[in-house]
Amino acid sequence: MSDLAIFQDRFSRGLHENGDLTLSGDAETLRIGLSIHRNTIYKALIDALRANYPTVERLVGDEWFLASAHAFLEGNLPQEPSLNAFGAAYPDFLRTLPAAADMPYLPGVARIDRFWSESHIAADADVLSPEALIGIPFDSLFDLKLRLHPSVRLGWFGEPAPSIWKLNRPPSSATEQVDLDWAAEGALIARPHGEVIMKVLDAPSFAFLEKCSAGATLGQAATSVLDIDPSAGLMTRIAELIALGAFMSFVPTHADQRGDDQ
Amino acid sequence: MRPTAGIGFKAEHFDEAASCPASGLWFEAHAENYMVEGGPRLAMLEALRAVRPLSLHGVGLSLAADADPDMRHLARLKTLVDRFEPFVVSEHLAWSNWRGVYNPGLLPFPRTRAALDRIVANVMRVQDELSRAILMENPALYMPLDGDDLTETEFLCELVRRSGCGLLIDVNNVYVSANNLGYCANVYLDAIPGAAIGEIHLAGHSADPEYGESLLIDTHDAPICEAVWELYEGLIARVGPKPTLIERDDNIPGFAELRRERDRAHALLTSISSRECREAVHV
Repeated sequence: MSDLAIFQDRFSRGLHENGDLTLSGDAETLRIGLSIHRNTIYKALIDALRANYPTVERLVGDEWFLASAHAFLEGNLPQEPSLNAFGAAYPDFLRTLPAAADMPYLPGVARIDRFWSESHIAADADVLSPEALIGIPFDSLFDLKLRLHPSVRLGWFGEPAPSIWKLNRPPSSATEQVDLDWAAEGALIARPHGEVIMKVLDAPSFAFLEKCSAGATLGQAATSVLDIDPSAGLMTRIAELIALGAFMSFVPTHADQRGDDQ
Repeated sequence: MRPTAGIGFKAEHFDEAASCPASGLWFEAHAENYMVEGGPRLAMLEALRAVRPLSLHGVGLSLAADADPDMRHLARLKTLVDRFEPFVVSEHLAWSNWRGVYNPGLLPFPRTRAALDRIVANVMRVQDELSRAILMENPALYMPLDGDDLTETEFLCELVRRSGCGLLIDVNNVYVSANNLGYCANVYLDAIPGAAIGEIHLAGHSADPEYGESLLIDTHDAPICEAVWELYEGLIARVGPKPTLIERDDNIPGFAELRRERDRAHALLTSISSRECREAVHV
């Protein structure tokens, strides 16, 4: 191994294992220099985590967040030379963190923060306009497949994490007492027109989008809605999701059908 | 293009940055922040690029690691370079990636001949992929390391000669390193050939909370200090005007404050330019 590689192994160990530098030179000078580099690196990592999980930080406060970040970093140093997507494992980490046990909604809130960050940097695409489906014969409408916009992320949560997230995501500064209906909820995160949006979903709408995401036809997706709630107001729901910008295009499944994969 | 002064771009300054009427103003963006598939961040940079020249400053290639450059990262950089057509692409004389871990910092190494060979090869690999020369920035140092074969200026000059790269001289880094390691910043700057300098950085630093002024940290969180302005004036008086960037990455003030520092650099560059013109006429 080269001298440079040996140096870089030793320096890395010194950085992350809180050790001293096993290098020749004045030990105290090396220790001080190393600690500056370590502080810079860990500050950058924590700033990146903070930027990606602002709602978690608002809910738990600065001190709690910092402690959780330090614990998270012990096993989760970044592998990519860019921090845009850093911290993907933080929501799952919170699930295992004893200090978070009395906040069962917290991993869900973290996951929505995560979805927000992913949606914000996802690929660009036009959204499907509500007019695009006009003129498609009713009997072939249910054979087509709606394709989700690349910025869409979907989640289902055992606690009302989406509602909690909505109330607390900065710059929101809601401080008043809110009575939450403590029930399971879904979330749709998307960036249809530049801004990231989050829409709280009930079970039928979540089922519909999840089916679309899995490549089901509109008919199959509609069936999953009606299975949950026969009076779910199917067409209104679909129109609302299209208007939100959840889809980018549709794929006709019959060759004789009008309408391009636009 | 007559060398002018620019400002490190921050998204929160976009409206003022894009509409700022200052003549010759350009912006520098950290390449890694834009290595994303889509979204408002890229759209913003595109809108800025439509009205101003842009420089791309990389922090993640880790060219001083004893390893080949990460080709996926390099491909992402090339995508940005092709899209935004920056007038300068720069990186650091430092390492950050090592054995699959990314350390978001700029780490030092002993300046050995073998390290020089490795870094020359890495820089040439990057330049081949990008089909253009890049600038390499001098580091801020916090401790002497045993085993140097060359001084930093010798190392930089050899890197330029062998790889064909240019230099981004960060005057604040020179000031910080000279202070921390006990050498003369002016002697250092005088050893840098003017023709190699493609860009100059000016930034602020902080004193270490424990050790005070004897240990300065390159924090980019404060205004540029007067001593760094003096070094800068001396440098451009010797080497002529060079594109100069005001860098601020933490404790970020309003755009107007950065604009004032930028205008000060711009005025110095302009006075050097006009002096050069007058001297040329007299000869």
